[in-house]
Amino acid sequence: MTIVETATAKVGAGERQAVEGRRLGGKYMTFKLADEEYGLEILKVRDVIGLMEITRVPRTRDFVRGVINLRGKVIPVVDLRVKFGMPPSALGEQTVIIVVQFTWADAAVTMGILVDEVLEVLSISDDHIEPPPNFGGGGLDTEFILGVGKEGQRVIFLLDIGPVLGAADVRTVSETVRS
Amino acid sequence: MAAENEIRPMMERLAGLAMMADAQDADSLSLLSEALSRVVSALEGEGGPLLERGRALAEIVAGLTSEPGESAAGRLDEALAGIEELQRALESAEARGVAAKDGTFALPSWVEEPVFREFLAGTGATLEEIETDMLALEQGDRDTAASLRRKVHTLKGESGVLGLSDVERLCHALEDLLADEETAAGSIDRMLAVKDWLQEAFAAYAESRLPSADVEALIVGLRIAAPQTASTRDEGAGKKTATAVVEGAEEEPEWDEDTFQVAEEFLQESDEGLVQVDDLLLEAEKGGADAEKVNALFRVFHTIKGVSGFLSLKETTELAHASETLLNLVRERQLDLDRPVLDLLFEATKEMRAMLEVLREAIPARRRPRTMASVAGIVARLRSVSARSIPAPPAAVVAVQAAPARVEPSVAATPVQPAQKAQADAPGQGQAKAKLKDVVKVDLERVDSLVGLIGELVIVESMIANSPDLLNLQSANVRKHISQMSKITRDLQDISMRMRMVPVRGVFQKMARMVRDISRTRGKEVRTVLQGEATEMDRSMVEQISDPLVHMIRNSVDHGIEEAGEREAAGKPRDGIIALSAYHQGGSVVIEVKDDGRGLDRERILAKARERGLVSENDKLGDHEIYNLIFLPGFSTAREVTEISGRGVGMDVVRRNIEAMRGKVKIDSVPGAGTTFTMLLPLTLAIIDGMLIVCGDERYIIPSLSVIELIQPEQSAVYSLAGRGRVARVRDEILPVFSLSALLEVEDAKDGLGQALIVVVESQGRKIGLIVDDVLAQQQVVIKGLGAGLPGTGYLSGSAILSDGRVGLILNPDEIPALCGRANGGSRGWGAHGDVPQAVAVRNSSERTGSWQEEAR
Repeated sequence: MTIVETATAKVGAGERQAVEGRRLGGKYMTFKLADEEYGLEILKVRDVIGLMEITRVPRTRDFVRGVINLRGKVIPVVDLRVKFGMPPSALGEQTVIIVVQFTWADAAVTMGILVDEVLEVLSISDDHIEPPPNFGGGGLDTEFILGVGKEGQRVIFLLDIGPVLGAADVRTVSETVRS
Repeated sequence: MAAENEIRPMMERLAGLAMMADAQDADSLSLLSEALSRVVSALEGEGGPLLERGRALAEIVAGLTSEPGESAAGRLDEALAGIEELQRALESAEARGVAAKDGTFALPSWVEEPVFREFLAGTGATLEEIETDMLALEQGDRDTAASLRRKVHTLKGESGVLGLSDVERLCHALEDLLADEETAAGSIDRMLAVKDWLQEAFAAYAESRLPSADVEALIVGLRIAAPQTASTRDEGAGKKTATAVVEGAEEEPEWDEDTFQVAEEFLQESDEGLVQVDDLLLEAEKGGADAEKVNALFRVFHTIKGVSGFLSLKETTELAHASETLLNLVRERQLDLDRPVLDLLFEATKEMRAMLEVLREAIPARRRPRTMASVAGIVARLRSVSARSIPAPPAAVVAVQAAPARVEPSVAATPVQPAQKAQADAPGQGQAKAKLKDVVKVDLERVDSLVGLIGELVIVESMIANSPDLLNLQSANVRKHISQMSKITRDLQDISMRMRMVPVRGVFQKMARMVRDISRTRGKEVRTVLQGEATEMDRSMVEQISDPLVHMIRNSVDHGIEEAGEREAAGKPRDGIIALSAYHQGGSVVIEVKDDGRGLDRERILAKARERGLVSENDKLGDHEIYNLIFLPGFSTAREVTEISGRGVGMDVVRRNIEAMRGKVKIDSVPGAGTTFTMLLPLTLAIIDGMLIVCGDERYIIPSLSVIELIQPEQSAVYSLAGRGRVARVRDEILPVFSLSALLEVEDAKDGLGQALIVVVESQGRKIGLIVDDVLAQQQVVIKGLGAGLPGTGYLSGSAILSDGRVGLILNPDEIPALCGRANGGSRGWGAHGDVPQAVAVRNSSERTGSWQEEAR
């Protein structure tokens, strides 16, 4: 996809700035969505579970795949591909649900994210992480990218999962208010 | 012994005066001085250290009366501490005197047996904790000294209240020793010996024996080990508190975590205590104040005083102290518990609550509470009532002289004090012990996590029991084990639910208190009758019914119950009655608020509704429908808005809160005879009875409480309306019908009425039909949240895990029709204001349909 190409091109030229003074080096769980590679801070990952039957929740956002029973707790499952504007995941043998937990608007949120394949847990050091690419206000919003990890030939987009899933909620609320 | 019997009443009077002594009040000081010299002269015959101490104290007090000066307050504190010590010493001498005669232990007259038993039951755990702390201290953990000191202090206070003077003095000595951590750490053996003695002592008390006498040796041992001698320390401590108060005004040190915990416990205990106080005061008001109740009242304030003193909550201590003093006078029959006194005590309770609120807000923020509300007014009034009731000196002389005369005949008969004798002889002392249940206080978090785990177990159990693999297995053994497991799981679930159940008593008592306060402000005479207070409900629900109850009761007192004159004219008793009752009915709890007032004014409600355009002129409404109108937001028929009700928000809140608990509320009213609000609530918020239905490829749950009936469409006619809506004719009623699959935008559902079913549900007070694919079962489900991040799902009230482990969504029938509006692109305004016009619209449309049908025929 073009995002990857553009992003790789930009990252080389991107100015090196500390992202809000945060040190991003550390362990990331990497996974695949279509051909793209993403990383999630390992501290936010609670569990990786095999695909299970998801109960569809009618009339909610399209990227919400439904809810599952995670050992007695009901959690929503989000299709990250739909969230990123790609076609919905075709459930395959490699498809898994990564259970993440993060704090959003002062509340602990537990969610499942549907990904095509989990790759590995990768240690990425500070000097291998570039700041998020800047598309110059032209369409692509990178607020949910913490940075871009370089590992050999691979480029891994490090996700800030809070804004990805949390902001969706906020946006919906504001839409509702408008209507 | 005779001398002691004379001293006792004198000493009691002295203690009473000491409580009220004020350095600025010359009268109180001269009364104190006089009482003290009386005690001293009674001690003349005894001689010994007590006499010396008494003389020294008398000198201090005499000095105070002759020259009240700058340091008066400090010197008075010193003297008061001395008087307290003197009193304790006398009491213990007396107790030992009694013991020497018959070797058994008898409770002081003011202590109730069950209270004492409860205290004893708790000491085991306390002593274990004390021992643990002592050992930790020995290991070099200096921080435990503070927590140990607090525990010992609490024990001292409790045993003091219960009249266990030996324990009290021993704890006092131990507390002194603990003032210095280093010394304490070096005297662990001594401290452990104290703990062992306490353990034996409590065991002895439990069998109504006196503990062994070597307590004196222990106390002496502790005194030797302590850095200062006891008496100087006492005075030092007195000064320290005095200066601490002064310093406190400038800069109060922040509390540490332990202190905050003490404060939290204090809050909880005080809350419970104050509820009890309300209850007791209400009973006293009805005319049933016996000595026992007064004692119970006294104890609550005494405990509050003790702990708040420890927490340096000056105002709280002051108020508790003033209330306690007043009650002490009542206890000693120098003051009647009449209306003004009761009012004063009610007010004191209210103030106390207000102060506790300040503390409650301060605790989560982990800051020390700021100065609490000023209590000077109420304290002054409490004091003035107390002072007035203290007999003037001549009268006091009579009282004191009369006292020995009263005691003497029984002294001749038996050396045991009559009251104590009665206690010892009281039958059923052993039974009281057997009746008292052992109670363990458990962290609520732990209970919740246990309940949660059991919930999971229940789900896994049903997954296993229903698993097709196992069902195919032809093993009688496996089946037997599974059924056994199912039974145990069900029992576990039952217990886990009951663990969270508490009686509604607390809330009911709060309401009784409120009725009293409101009726007072409105100048009405209203009595509360409580029934079924022991009925249990889920903890969280008990909290949640409080708000609706408040509104219903306010409504009843304010609008329902008439003025006394009007009642008499109508041939009713002057006192209005509000009856609160709770009982179980099937799987639900019913709570009723019933008044015997004038009843709802049907015509006025209807007129008001027409005026507001909520109902049209031609509408024919049944009684219930009319009464239900008062639940609409902003609906009030009150002619005047009062401080308490009439703004029309209350009843709306009632319905909302009750529906939030998945309950129902109903009004019945008979003109001139009263109104009854009936709340039907589920036993718990955690489980509901649901109807499992199918729509498309998903299963949904509709709460059974909302389901009215199930019909097969063939039996009734379904008509389309304006090409969009549909109505069904069920017997004589016309209902709007919605296709659930269309509302939920589920594609692959049947819509052909031939195969589908209609579930008639109650939605916002009226009936609607929902077309579903199939109905599977009626079952209980454990309610789960939906998890965060699912916007736009207001039509769901949660989810549940079904027997195959998959998630089923629970529909909220009240919000279902709103989906229709949204599907048609209409506004979401089905909320506060939308439902009324809609109700009318539905009604109109059904009428229209009726005539339309006739045409069709």
